[in-house]
Amino acid sequence: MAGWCMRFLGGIDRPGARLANHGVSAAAAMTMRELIASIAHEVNQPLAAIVANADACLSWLGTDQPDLAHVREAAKRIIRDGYRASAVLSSIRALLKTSGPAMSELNLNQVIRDILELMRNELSRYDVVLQIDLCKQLGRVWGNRIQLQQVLINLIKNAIESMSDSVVRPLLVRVSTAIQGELAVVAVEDSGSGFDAVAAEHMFEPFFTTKREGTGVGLSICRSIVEAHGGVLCATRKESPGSVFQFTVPLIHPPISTQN
Amino acid sequence: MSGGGHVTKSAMKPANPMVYIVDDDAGVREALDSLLTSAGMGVVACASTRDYFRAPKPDVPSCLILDVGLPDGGGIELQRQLRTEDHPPIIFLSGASDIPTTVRAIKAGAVDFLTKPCRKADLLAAIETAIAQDCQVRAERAERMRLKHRHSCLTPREREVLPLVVGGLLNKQAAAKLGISETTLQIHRGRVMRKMEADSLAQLVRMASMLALPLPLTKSH
Repeated sequence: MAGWCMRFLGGIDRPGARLANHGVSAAAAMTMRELIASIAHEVNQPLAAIVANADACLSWLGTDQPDLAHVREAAKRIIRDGYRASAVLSSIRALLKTSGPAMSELNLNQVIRDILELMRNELSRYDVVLQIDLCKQLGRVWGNRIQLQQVLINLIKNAIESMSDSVVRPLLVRVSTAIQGELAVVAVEDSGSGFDAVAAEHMFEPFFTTKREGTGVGLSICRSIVEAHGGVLCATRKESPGSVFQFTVPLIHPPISTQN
Repeated sequence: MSGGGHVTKSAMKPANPMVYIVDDDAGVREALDSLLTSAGMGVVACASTRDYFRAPKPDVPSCLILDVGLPDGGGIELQRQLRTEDHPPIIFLSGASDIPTTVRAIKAGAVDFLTKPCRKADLLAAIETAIAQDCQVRAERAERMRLKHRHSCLTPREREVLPLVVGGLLNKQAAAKLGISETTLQIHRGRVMRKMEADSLAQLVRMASMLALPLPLTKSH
């Protein structure tokens, strides 16, 4: 367990990474403890429910005239909770996979264009107007295409979902890139309901979710990926309703600063 | 689940003890609801402490099963809030048994502290203890209410006589203290005994102690 966590958080071979190694290991150890506690809790809840449901089954069966409707319901809940426990473990496997393949030199704008093309159907299905505003001067970055696309998909899906209850039209998602010193900045903006203070504090923690069906690992995976690329993922609330999720990736050839 | 908790049908029978479950995990909540309902208990399942406060509370012996790790302040926090008012005995459920939390909960008066998944026998035993404890508390409370009512029926003079009598003063001493004749005092004393429905002085003393009446400082000689 310890092995994979350290590998996943700190061990990716990445030329030009900006994180100091000792800093990473302290953060990794902290995150690992929290992660394990979260996993234990998330798996234990369905297990507790399964045991209580099975006891309920036996109890409903144990009378002279067994109440089969209750038995059936309890059995169905056992199946559901079994899948729930399994889903937690699957999401852990997804976390593991983030420490996968090699990095290469990427045109970040192109990576974004490709993924937006793939998501065009999804966006139009939810009646979302997409604005693309990519910085033409953006240079290349060192990164893993699949992982960065995974981050973008996640952020865009979150953006769409945050607007699902919105009555304001048009539903707007804006994807932009910019140069900030030595960093490429990618921003995904929405016109949704934004997030509250509790979400702001916990949204990057594993298993925190505000969604009905969410597993709560999406943003924590995104952050792990971005940090493995030597960048930072952050979220801000907008003045007008909505939020901005923004991440950075170091540029391979940052423009020479004119100010210093 | 909306509003103040979900009351199962069997909860309507007044004779059944009532178990309140507060757990933010819907799966655990439903399972415990079914298990305890199958054991003949009335169950009110609440997703949050706020739901619990809003839930209707029928006047029957009851207990509270609290998840330690509730998001809105946590089970231990709720226990702290409840300490000041009348509430049913608490059984804690926790994902992991951590000793400091357990000690804190038990010290603050929890009946039991069980680890999830918990054995049915352990849970039912804890509930039985909690319900028995609540029955006793409720009986004492009802008795105190009855005594308070009887005490409120006393005249001001009788209310003066009562503490002197149970404080151990002789009739003569009590009469002197109030500046009345011994015969008058005896009449008051007889009325106090009758109105409080006390068969003996010992019983009246016990009633005074349940009512926490202030007793005179003078000792009888």
